[in-house]
Amino acid sequence: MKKTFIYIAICSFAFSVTSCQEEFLDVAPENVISEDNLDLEKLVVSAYSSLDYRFNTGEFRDNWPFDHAPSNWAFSDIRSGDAYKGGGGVGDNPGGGMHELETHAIFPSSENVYNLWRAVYFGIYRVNSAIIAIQGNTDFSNKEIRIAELKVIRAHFYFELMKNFGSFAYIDENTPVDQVATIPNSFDKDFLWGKIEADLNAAVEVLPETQTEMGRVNKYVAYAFLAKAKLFQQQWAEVITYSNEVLSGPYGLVTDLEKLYSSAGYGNSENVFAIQYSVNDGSDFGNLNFGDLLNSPDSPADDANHPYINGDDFDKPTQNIVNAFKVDANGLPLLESYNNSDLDPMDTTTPVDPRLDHSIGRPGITWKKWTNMPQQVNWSRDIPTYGLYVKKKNQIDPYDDTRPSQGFPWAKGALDHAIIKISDVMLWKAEALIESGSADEGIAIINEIRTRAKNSPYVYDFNDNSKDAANYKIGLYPNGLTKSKAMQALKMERRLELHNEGHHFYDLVRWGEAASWINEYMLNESSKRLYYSGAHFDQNKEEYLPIPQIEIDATSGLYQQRSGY
Amino acid sequence: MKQLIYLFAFLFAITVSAQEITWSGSINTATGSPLPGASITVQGTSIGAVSDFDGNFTITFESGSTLVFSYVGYTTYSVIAKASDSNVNILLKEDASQLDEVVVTGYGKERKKDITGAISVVDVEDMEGVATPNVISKLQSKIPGLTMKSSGVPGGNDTQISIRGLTSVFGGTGPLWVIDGVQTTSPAGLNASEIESIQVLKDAASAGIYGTEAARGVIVVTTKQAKEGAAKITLNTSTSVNTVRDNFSVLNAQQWLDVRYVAQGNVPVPAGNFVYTPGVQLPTYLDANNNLLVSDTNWINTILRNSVSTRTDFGYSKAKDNWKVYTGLGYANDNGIIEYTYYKRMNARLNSSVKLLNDKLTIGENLTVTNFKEVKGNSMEDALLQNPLIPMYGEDGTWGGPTGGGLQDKWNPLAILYINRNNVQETTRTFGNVYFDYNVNDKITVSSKFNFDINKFKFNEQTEAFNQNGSLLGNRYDLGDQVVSRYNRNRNLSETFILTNMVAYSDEIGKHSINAFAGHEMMKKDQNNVFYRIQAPYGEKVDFENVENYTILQDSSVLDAYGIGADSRRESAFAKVSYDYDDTYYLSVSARRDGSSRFGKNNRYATFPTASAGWTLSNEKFLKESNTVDNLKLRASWGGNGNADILEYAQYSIYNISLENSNYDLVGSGYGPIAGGVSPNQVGNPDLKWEQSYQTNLGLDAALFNSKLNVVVDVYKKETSDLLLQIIQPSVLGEAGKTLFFNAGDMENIGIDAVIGYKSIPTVNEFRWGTDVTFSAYRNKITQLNNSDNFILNGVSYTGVGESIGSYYGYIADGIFRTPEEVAVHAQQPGKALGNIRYRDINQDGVINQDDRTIIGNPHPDFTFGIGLNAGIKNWDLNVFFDGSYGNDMYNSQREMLDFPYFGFNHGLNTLDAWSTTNANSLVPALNTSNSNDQKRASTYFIEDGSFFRMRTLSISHDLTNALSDKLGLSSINVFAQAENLFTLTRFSGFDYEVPGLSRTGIGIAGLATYPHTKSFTLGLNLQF
Repeated sequence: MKKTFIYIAICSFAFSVTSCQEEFLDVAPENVISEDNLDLEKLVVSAYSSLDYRFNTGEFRDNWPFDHAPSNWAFSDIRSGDAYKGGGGVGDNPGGGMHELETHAIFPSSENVYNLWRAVYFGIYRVNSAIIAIQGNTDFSNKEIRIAELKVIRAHFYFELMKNFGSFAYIDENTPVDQVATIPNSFDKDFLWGKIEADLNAAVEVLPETQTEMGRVNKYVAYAFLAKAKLFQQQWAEVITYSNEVLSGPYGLVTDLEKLYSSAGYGNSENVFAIQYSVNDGSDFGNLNFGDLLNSPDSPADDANHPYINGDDFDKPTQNIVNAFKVDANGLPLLESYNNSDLDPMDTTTPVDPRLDHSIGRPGITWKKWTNMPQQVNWSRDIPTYGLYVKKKNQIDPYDDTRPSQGFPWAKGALDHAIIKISDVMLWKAEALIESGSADEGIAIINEIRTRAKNSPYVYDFNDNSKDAANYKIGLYPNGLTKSKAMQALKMERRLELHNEGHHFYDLVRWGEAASWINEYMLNESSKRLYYSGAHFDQNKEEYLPIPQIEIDATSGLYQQRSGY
Repeated sequence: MKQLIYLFAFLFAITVSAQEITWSGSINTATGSPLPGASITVQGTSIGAVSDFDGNFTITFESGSTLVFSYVGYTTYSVIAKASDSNVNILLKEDASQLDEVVVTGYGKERKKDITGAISVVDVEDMEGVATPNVISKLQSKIPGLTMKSSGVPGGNDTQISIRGLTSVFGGTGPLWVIDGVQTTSPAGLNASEIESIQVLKDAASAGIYGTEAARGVIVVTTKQAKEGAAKITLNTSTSVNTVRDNFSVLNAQQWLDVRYVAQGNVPVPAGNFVYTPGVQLPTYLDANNNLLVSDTNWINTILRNSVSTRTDFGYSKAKDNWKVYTGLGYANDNGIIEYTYYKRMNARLNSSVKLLNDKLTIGENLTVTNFKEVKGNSMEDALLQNPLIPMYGEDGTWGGPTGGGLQDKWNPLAILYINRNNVQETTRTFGNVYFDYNVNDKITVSSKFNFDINKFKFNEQTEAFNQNGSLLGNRYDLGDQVVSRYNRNRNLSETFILTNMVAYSDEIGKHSINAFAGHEMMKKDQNNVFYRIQAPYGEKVDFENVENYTILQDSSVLDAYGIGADSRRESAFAKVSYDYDDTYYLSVSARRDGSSRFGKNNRYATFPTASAGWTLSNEKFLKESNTVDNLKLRASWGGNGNADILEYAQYSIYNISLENSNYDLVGSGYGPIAGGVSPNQVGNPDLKWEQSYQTNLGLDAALFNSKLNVVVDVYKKETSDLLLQIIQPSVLGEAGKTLFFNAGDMENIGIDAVIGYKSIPTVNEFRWGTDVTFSAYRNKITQLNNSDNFILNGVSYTGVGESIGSYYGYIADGIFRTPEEVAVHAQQPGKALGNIRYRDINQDGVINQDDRTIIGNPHPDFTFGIGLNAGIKNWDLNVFFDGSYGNDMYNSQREMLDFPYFGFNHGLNTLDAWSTTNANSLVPALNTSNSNDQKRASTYFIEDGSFFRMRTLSISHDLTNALSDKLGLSSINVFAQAENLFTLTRFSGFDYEVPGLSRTGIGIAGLATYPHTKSFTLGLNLQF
């Protein structure tokens, strides 16, 4: 009997001992995508996917990038007189720093700047890990092309850091993994532009002119970024060369401006590079432009006659940009005097550029194709503070098939967000031509853009669609303008065509006009928008955002703050 | 077959002896009252008896045997009996320190008097009749060195426990639970009334036998076993009414309008359909369609309610000859004080064992099956911030919500809870073990124990859509051709098996006594997670068991990148030797070697040694005869523990598929399925190793004045190296960099735990009283950081060499600018203005910037304490228990939203007292909607004293045993009334001084979303048949 139990005991111990082997402790992740079973193409897809600044962290800020949108509405439009912050009063302040962006009092601790920096680097990280994985694989057939695509995406991300921060820590696939967090940020612009251009130059050598999948980067996209990089460095000859490469591609101005701003897919041939959005793709609302989520007009929640229910009404066009649409007897902008008097929001008789009512909503004017009512006063949330204009660009038509619902997410659908449009490229070339002494050639390009606007169907009167909604007039510039006059025209045309698309602030900075223009703008507006009183733009500081305090702290002070912050 | 016959033979053989004698009489306490249920055993045999209700007994046995009289809590008495006696009167002396009581510690049992480590033995009787369904909330402040942070969520499963300060900021701060030998990090589902004993192993030497899991302390729980004697049936039931403990106050509608008006610079306030200026008559309706009446809603009141919780436990136990059985059934129910939340638990237990082979072999099992269902929901933050002008319901009967204007855009807080009401999380847990112990001879025992812990989790997440102001919001998606809803089906199965084999040896040679054991253990934990995201037509009731009937959006049965499907293995060998001489000198050493699959191959194994010694001075000649000192013992211990509690796959890099965040419409069609991507979800760290801690403990136990006064004091120093942290990383490390664990540095905790108790010697029917005071204090300090030579900052939470972990870091708010002169002379501070916060220029460089930040607070208390008082007379007993914390700073981040009307949500009452020229002495900054001074930056403005003193419980119990029990056929009947959280004294101005959050985001940071704590009143009844 005793023996039996001793035997059992021994067996039991023996069992323990025999399994006492190293393998027992080897537990590989199960049912998990790890480095061993990665589909490389899917890594590339996720790098593209990061263009919309939405990431997998589970944190609110990373799923809802509306306080640091990839469209730069918060970092360009509301900082440069194209738009007021909007929303429910100055205290309605996504990220805690939106109002301070508008009044140029942004702090290093602002969540907005941190979230932007964070999103861009998350994107760069995806690009770098994809390149590393692809390089390590010898039998991946699309190896060269995919790496080139990824490099263009990376150049785009570093470009965003360059525009917004004027500084970045450069990390690429050659940075040893354990040293990624030890690279300091640089303020050396030549070095930084050099890194951006190196990726683009490598890409144009490899990329095809067309890709089967329209959303992918091709050779023209790489050239477009090169042209833009040169534009920011004022290297005019290269701007012209690279712009010509892009202009030789399959892009062109579409004929109907209204649809360009309202109908998903319509702008495909005008967009050189755009963030591709989609609906009914299995995700909750679709992969939509959540960065611009807040920028839809408000309207009563209990009245289905309104096109968007309970929008947030951010990113509201300014009186200044509306005034810019006033024209003279020839249908040309009032380059010097446009802001001397205000166009009344209800004024439909003063002659204006027809693009005004395509891109900016005014009460009483037809809203896209909505037949229930024209725009109402109560589509604006805080009229005393932010006025009555609402953003009409990049708001999907209420009847568009790709719009998920009348309420949330409001005017978002599969309407892509253009990072580079052909009209932008044309104006780069025009600017380079004017700067290098060929004013007439530059003006010709401007006129080409104006001609499209002139020939596009105008916004019609809500009650009588045979009539125009307002007194539209647009003419062409004559030849023989002086260089400075031509530059004035160029700058005005960039606003008229591209306002509220995330360009104006960076234009002002590269033109060296940010402090003077913005200070004058804020002084002017402060009589209408009380919160601007006392606001001031500090030259040589606020052209760029502060390096986020969290990043400085997380690197134990390795990252250096821009002086002045 | 032959063995089986032997077995039966042993079972039923009755040894007949030639010379039998009989003793009968009574057993009484020293004060003369009868002691029912005391046991009488004949040493070396299985013969025994139990005293009856009047303390009487009769026992027949072989002449010359040793009779042993014992009763828990009383000194055991033994005598050699040679002749029959019918008038025996045994007096058992109460043993206040219960030193001979045997308690379960790591892998073995020890007499309390032999303990050389720092082990707190919980007075389980004190926990009887506790109304809370969760055992752990009752431990609060009763054990010095044990810190509890309950969250108020029904069921209490979210309570955080830490032993002896913080060991690790991530990796969970919770201790290891060993429930009948089952090692787990979660006591969820354990029924308090089934617990026989709880021991808290606080020092490294006691806990070290659990090796890698022990660094955060170990709580050993033993569940009830039947005791010899008549079958015992118990029925305990109680009902509590719970109400919210803290005061949640925000502005009413009129106050909100007035505050907004001033904050906007005396500019009219848009609010729904109208624009407010002071003096203007409010309209009747908020909206143009006359649906929403202008209201003055107290949103907090709409989501909070008084709740009722009940608890009923039934127990049956019987032990006879060589077998014993304990069974328990329990039901607990807690309707949370937030609407539509609840917790329900049912559990069943069966503990049984049988002794075979002449008592040499014990075979037994402990088994619990518990099922709990929870609806968790919390819209506190929404309710605090929702605009009071909005009515709860519209005129059309739909939920009231904002209609634009200045009303902001939060959903109706009650509606959020309502649509969540069916989101029941159901867990079924089966845990326990089967074991055998075999006494090879009287010195050697071999044993084997197979432990299991099986958790099945089921969650059909079915949040609904709801109608707010006539619009359907929430789970409703319009795809153009169809309207759908989307649901999650989540099933998780986690199975842990632990096989422990041991051999133990004990021997006594004269005054030398030796106990030793060695063992081997294997742990296998497998997890399996199946997750589906499905899409079904809107309004259709979904059959979650047949998800294939619906469109499957995400199928994670083939993909699990979240670590929840992670498996792990552990293999360990351990041994311990204890020696004592004459119950006076003690020495003990142990070692454990663990290997864990959670760590990379280079750092897979670690060994944890311990040693301890004790000296019972009271057994020395010079004290033995002392009338003052009944027990005096010095203890010293040292040992190493590990912490391996990180995500199972932390060493691996893992990628993830996400419909929202890694897919992309490469084709550009804009509609329908798009290209799938994978993005990094976790960056592995193959060099990750154990967090190790070494702890030295010195202790003193004393019992004085006939054991009326008892003192236990322990001082310790705990040094943790290779602190496992998961901290804010620079963004260059990517979105997965946030889950990067690394061994960050070293830390030490120095502390003291003390208990002083006084207990009057009970005399029948006279006044009796006692008190227990617990005190504990620790100092935490980071001694070294590895990867960063500077500091680690996570929001406001700072970790730097020489400072306590989780210290607060920021600017010093140096009051408010009260005159233009003060503004003018102050350093360059963008946004400085009258009524704004002045920040101190610490480095005096004339600029307020990042270099002016410093340590601004310490969340660790100077000390914490508990004071228990009990008094009784006749069959009435009164218990009062106070506890508190002193000297801990708290970061009141609630004020970021409530003191500053930057955002148009509702504001706190402080805004009514904001600085203005007419309220020049205010400490609250001037009202402004623009945060031009960055006043939400981390600063001393938000630091408050978190000290508190509260009456934790007050209870009165009345023993009706004599009065009623005979009539009702009961052996015992007891009723009690109890109040919890009756009052608190604190200077903390926020909503809840008891902040959960011993987490990587910081310690003691009070936010808006805390589930409120309750004040509760309980009536209960305990019956015994």
